[in-house]
Amino acid sequence: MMTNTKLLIALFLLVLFALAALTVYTIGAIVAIFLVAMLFSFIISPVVDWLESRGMPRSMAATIMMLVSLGAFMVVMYFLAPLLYDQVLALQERVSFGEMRRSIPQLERELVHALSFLGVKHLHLTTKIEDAIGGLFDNLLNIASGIVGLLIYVVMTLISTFFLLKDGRKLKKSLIEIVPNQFFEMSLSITAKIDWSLGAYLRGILLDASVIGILTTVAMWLLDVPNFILIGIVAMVANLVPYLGPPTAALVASSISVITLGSFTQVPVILAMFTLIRLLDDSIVQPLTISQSVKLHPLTIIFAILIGGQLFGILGMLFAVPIAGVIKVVSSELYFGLKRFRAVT
Amino acid sequence: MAQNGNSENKPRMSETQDSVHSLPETDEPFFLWSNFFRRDREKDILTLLRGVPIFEGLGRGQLRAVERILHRRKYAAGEYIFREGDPGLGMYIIESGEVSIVRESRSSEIARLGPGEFFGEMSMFNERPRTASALAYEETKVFGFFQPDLLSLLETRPSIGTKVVMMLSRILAERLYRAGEENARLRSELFLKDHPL
Repeated sequence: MMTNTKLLIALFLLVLFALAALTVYTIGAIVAIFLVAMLFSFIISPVVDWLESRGMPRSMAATIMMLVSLGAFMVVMYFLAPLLYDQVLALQERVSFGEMRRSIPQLERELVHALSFLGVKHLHLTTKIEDAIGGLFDNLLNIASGIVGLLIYVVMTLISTFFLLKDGRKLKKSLIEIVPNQFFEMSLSITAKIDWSLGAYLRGILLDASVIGILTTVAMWLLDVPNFILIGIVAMVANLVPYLGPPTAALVASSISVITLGSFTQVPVILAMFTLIRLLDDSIVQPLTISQSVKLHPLTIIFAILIGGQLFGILGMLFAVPIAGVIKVVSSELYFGLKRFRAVT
Repeated sequence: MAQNGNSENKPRMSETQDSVHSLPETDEPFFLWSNFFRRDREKDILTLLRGVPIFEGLGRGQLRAVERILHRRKYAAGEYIFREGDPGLGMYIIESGEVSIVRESRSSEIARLGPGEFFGEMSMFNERPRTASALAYEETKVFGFFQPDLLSLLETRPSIGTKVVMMLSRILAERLYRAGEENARLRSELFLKDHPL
């Protein structure tokens, strides 16, 4: 009896995994829309629940929250986009014509002088930096031109988010309904726990990244580092990648400062500030936002980043760790659920 | 339905219960007819839920909100609803049929429950292993009401959730009181046996 149950569960999981892999392989973009919509609905649903608890019908609460989120996004974009655009343009200008052309040769002379004992005579820093950053701007322009094409995906994601917010519970109930009686309570218990842990984890990493982004922006603004908003956004996104993310953001901030000022004077303060933010994150923000049970082993993180990078490039590297976290939450809840119900020993 | 010839072969008991508690399962071609029966079924379910002590004091709209979160399950005769030792997740309300509550360790039936009765309510507050098994004595339809549903009810409809929690607590407190009384009676009997007057 027990062996049959185990075999059935193993077969079910195998079929589920094969179906998931096939679906991602064949209709990856549509799966991505659904996953992003799920992510949004996980983040927004507590507010919809709260509005419902105040007596508002769920469909109205979902509509209001979608409109509020959309409005907030548009307001932020309205104020932030011109600032961000100016900062990107200013940075490009510094790199292409102005300050960098003046500051880098001076920097190169200082470095060559400092490294003279190694026999270094030329570093060709200007050409190398221009090539590297030129490529980056090309990529940014490509992304900008692709935004129009992305619009349809955005609209589809918004519609999916709305329906997941409104009918998510009904959908879950319908899915549970098709589970055979033998596994019914077990499935219900596991899905409820996954739902809870996943929601907490996703809201946690988003909150953590936002706090880091805001702290970095404010700190860079206080230190009078140019492009502070851009650095804040980089820090926020980079925070998704443990270990590698924060040093990358610090490196970006230091580079901008060096390019602008033509000296390393501000670099120690910037690095000290990033270390302070890191300490604050590790000791206060993360323990409050992300459950310790979802902490990943450094080796898992490294391999997740490598696999993400190999499969989907930079975006893959960025989202590899959160996806690894999601997989950990789902699999551990699944395992403990199966164990509690004695389906596995 | 009259045109469903199969109904004639059904045992009498099931026929009666089907007509009282559930929608006849036919391929009804007319939308209005199916609508009519759906409303009829909904009325039956609400009547059933109104009779369950934990939903006492809930209005029609509130009962409808509860009905929306309940899980309707159907079990064949002899099929386990849950087994002794499984983690308990919640309770079941019998819509139709009969459920036998069995203590497997002693191979004895503790109770036989019928429509409108409920079992497993202790698990609404913790996930302790079930102390007995529940199996369908005949083809049985039940409504499952579980911890996650109660939590969701408390989050989204606190006025309903609080009432349900209050009633559940009252039932459990009553049961605890009765168990205490029984315990005291047995202790005094035991004492009198050991120390005769």
